[in-house]
Amino acid sequence: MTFKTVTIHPEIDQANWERLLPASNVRVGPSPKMSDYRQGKRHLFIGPKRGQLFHLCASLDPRYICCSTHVVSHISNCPFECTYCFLQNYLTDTTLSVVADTRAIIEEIREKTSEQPWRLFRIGTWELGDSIGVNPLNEMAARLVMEFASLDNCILKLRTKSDQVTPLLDVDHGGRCVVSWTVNPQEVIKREEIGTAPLGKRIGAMEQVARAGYPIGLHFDPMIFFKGWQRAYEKLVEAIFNRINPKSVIWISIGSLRFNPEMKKKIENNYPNTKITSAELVLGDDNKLRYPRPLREGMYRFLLERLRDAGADECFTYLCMERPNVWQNVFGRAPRSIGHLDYLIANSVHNRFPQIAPAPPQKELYLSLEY
Amino acid sequence: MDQLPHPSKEISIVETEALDLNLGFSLKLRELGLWKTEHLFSSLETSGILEPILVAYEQDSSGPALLIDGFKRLMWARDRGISHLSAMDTSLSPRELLLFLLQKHGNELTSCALIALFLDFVAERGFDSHLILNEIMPALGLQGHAKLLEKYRRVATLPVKVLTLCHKKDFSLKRCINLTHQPRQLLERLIELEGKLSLSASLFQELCDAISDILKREGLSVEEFFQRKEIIEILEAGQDRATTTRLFRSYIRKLRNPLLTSYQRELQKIHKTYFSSAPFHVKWDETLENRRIEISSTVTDIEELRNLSKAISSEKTKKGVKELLSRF
Ligand code: SF4
Repeated sequence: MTFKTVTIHPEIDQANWERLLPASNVRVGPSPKMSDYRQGKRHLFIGPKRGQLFHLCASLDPRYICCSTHVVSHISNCPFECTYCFLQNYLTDTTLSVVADTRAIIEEIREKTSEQPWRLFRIGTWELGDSIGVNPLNEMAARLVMEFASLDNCILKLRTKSDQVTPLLDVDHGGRCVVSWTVNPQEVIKREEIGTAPLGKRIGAMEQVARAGYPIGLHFDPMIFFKGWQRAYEKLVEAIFNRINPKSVIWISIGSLRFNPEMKKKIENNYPNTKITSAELVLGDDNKLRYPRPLREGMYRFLLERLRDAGADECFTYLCMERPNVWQNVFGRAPRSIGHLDYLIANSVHNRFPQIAPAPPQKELYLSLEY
Repeated sequence: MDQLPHPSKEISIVETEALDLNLGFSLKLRELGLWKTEHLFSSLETSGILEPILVAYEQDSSGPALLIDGFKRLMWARDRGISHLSAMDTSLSPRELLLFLLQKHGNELTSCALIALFLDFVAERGFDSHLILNEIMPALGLQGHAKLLEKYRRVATLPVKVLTLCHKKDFSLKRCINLTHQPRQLLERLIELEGKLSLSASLFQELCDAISDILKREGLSVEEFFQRKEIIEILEAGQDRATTTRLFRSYIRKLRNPLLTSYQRELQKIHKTYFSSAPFHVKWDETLENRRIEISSTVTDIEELRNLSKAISSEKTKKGVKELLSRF
């Protein structure tokens, strides 16, 4: 994908970016502040850091069990067009923007995470867009990866639907970065994840980063219900684990389609051919529409069994934004709280990837976390 | 709003059949069945046409006179085969013309649907959008935003029968906009059912939303959908409107939410088995999301309280609650 325009804010040292950007159509100035969601994806703005970027994932809702990931929201908008993407109802300035000042971002993270040195912070960069979806986002990500190597109690979580991993491959990551993929069957990718890399390419990119020593994260989220979904998800799991060793997968999350009711019409306008909004959906306490619980549970259980069949049961697997009763019905057990899940993840990282978390996590401290 | 200049006093005779009715908003209202001629015609029958109609000639044009005011009088004259009428020529600027139209029809615009029709009508006739945004919309109590005008104009594209319903039931702009996203054929088909169903604004919207989702999900056409045996049976059973509406609605709900409906049925069965004669109410979360049973009751004396507490702690209640919870 190429950008129609690239704008660099005057405060940014252009020389730092010149190598990464196409020579033509780069200009210096303020953000073009696009308002159209799709148009904005074609205009890149590289700007300075303004305000705080590090915070808890905004989806966190104490009525659900969340994985309490932290995020750095230095990317806004995304080159791709997933039909279910919440950004279409969220952004006001739709210019694909990225904060250039990696050092300042790291300093903010260092300052905040040093207050809880006992805690393992998982920090994502995908809150408002794909972490590495397009050049120069992937180059920018590579800089973050290098800087993260110096943050002892943090893991950088890159999350993507692309195959743009080349800049990451030669970076000295010190094992502190997880490269994760959102995965879906190819038919879902084709219909609902427009512009993203096909499944085969995503798996190819996984192999490359695994060879470069990165732990891999897998997100079967959002699972989409359609006729023939079982066979499709079965094939998906097989396709991944035929080529990826479960030992290099640090965690797997599972979730299903969810969106705010106000988004229904937006989605239908933007993507008239999608059928995702016509599925049977119920409104949860977090004001999100989801498939009815029995259906979701059935889908999760099915996927979990396929993961077991593929030998991936050693990977820490959790549900995204579900209630304890759903956990109970799917896994036969449920974390007691958000802090408890945070602990379970940290403990699994410690056991399986001790180079990232050499000391065992202190359960009481995690359980005392308040959300 | 500014005072309108008086038309010139020049009176001429115009041919009734040759007039250009392009500015006849009443014609639009008539399409909607909102403009009734009977009453007015009867007053014309008794006293005849007292005032000349108002016409304008476009500058530098040899075209026919444009009818500005007097549409009803003209219709009456045409009905009676009157070939000529006296007319007063105006020399109004486009802005004055627009304000004139507003003054003439402003009071009639009592619903979002009619406002939409009027705004679309003037925009369609090429009046400057600045005038519409800055003078007409504020005069109608609206903010003069291009996007809002666009929304109203979209509403005006709804089929006439749907617009009539929107007007009659006083649908909000949001509701009207929502209907513009629905398949036209579906809207028209549902309107045809007005005689059989009591269609409130919210029910009309609910049915449209649900049926268009079902069509999409199942890849059906509107016609195929309405050919379903169950639908025909409900609509042709000859029941009263309220019963037909209830049955139709619950059938559509079942189709839209098959899983939830079947779970509800199961839960209700459990309820019937264990709690049909219980001295308390048992409720569960109908979305099936929350694993929670609510038990409530009212007591008026201690004896009732005793009975209630006995019933609540009975084995039957425990079993019933356990059964219900097992579905969550
Ligand atoms: S990849 Fe993520 S951020 Fe990008 S369009 Fe898809 S859902 Fe939205």
